[in-house]
Amino acid sequence: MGLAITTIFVLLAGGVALSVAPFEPGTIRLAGVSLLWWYGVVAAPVIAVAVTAAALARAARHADVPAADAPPGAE
Amino acid sequence: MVSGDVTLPLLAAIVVCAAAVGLLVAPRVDLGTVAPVTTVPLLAALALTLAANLVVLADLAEQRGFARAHGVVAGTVVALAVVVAPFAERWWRFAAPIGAAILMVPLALVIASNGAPWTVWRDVATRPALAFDAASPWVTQGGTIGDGDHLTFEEPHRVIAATPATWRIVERDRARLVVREWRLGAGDALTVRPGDQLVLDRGGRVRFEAGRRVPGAPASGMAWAAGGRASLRDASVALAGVAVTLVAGGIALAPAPSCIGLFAISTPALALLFVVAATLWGLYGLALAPELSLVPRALAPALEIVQRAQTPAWRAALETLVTAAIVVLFLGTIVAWRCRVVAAVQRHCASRLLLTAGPGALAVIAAGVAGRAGDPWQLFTWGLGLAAAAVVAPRLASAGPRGELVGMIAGTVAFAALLFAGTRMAPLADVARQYPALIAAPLAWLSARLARARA
Repeated sequence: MGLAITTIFVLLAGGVALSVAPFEPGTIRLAGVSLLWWYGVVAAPVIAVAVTAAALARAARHADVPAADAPPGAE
Repeated sequence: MVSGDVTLPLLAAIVVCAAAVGLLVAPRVDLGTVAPVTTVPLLAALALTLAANLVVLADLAEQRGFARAHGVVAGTVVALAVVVAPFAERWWRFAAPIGAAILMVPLALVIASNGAPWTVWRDVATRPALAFDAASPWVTQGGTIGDGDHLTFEEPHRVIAATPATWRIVERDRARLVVREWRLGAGDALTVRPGDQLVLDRGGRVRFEAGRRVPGAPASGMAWAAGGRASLRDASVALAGVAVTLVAGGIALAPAPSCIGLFAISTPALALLFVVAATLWGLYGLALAPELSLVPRALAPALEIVQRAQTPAWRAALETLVTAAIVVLFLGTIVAWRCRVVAAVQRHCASRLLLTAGPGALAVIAAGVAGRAGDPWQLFTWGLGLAAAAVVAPRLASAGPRGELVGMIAGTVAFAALLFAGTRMAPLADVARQYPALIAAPLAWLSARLARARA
């Protein structure tokens, strides 16, 4: 969870950096569209959802597996 | 979308990240055990978010030719019905994704008939000016600007009165302001100069000349594509304001425990679908009707674009489809909203009467707020911001009941002070008014920690 949250905040910080960095890298065009738009509308949201899905799936798997040091029959 | 806001290209990312963080952090924050007194600001925040949704319905009613009040009343009646008789609630949770899916149909048709989004983006970005099209309703029939709103012109315009009205022109001659008023009949024209501002009587309609720049729109497609270039400080503060408001507010308003199930991941996935679709609607709206910025209304691009379909039968069908999608989305929102309100009230009292009367009263208060009009996005962010400052920040301080109470009071007072007196804080006026949580939430957290330290 912690890693997922950190990744999401890094994604947000990356967007800020892209929009204010010197030499305006956010305005570089890829397939005619600026890098900032690709990043803000496609890349960052998709990565955020993927990271969240992975974190939730991992949390659900851990919830299903009983702790190794738990006594037999313990809930 | 049209104004070239510095936060715009990243808004989609921020909204999705807010939903994702809310989902990941909500179980850890455990708002189910917060101090009872924090329920009051949480309910106020929920009332503001419902008011935002009701304003969207008011905008929809206005665009379909009804009075705004009809939209607010209809939405409130639906909300009350959902509160009083939560029928088949399990299934209504699918309303939001279904509404979003319906809204995708006309969007797919718009994309099919106008080209891929990147092609349209490139086309808009190379336009020398965002100007009125000859077929625009603002050129052919005229349009009405909001009551009390004004248009600022950047180039000479010859504007024509479509209905008799009193026009007020604010002229700027160097340091001097001159206000002139004219009573114009239908068809009378007036020439305005760069820098002039136009204010119209309520209901007065104005027509523009085709090919002229839309007042208030960016100077060119390239200027729009570059976005509102801001300094590091301004951009950071603006983006931090949006992020703190949406992310922290998202924690408070994340799905209530009973709403989380197998479909937990659907929350950020749906947020992704919504923001991408909303961005595309905004992009095609800008490409096909740049004058949308004259009267910014919620969901205006969707309705404006489909109203421009050439075949009347298609136009009617698409309008009905968009209206149905918005209504279904509203129903889904109301069910989730009721779920959250009930979870908040249930912490203190499980009385069936209170669980019905509480959300009902809140819906009526929200209707009162929505009836005063306003910007739905502003109301929504104020709601999230209040929740962030008064509920989430004190909770994150882990300061115990006393610290949480102090943090809640500090957060609420700071939020209200910034909201109502923020415009007097010159260096932070814009941020203070738009995103008070950026300042109020850290203050609440700090107050809670200090109260814990003293205890």
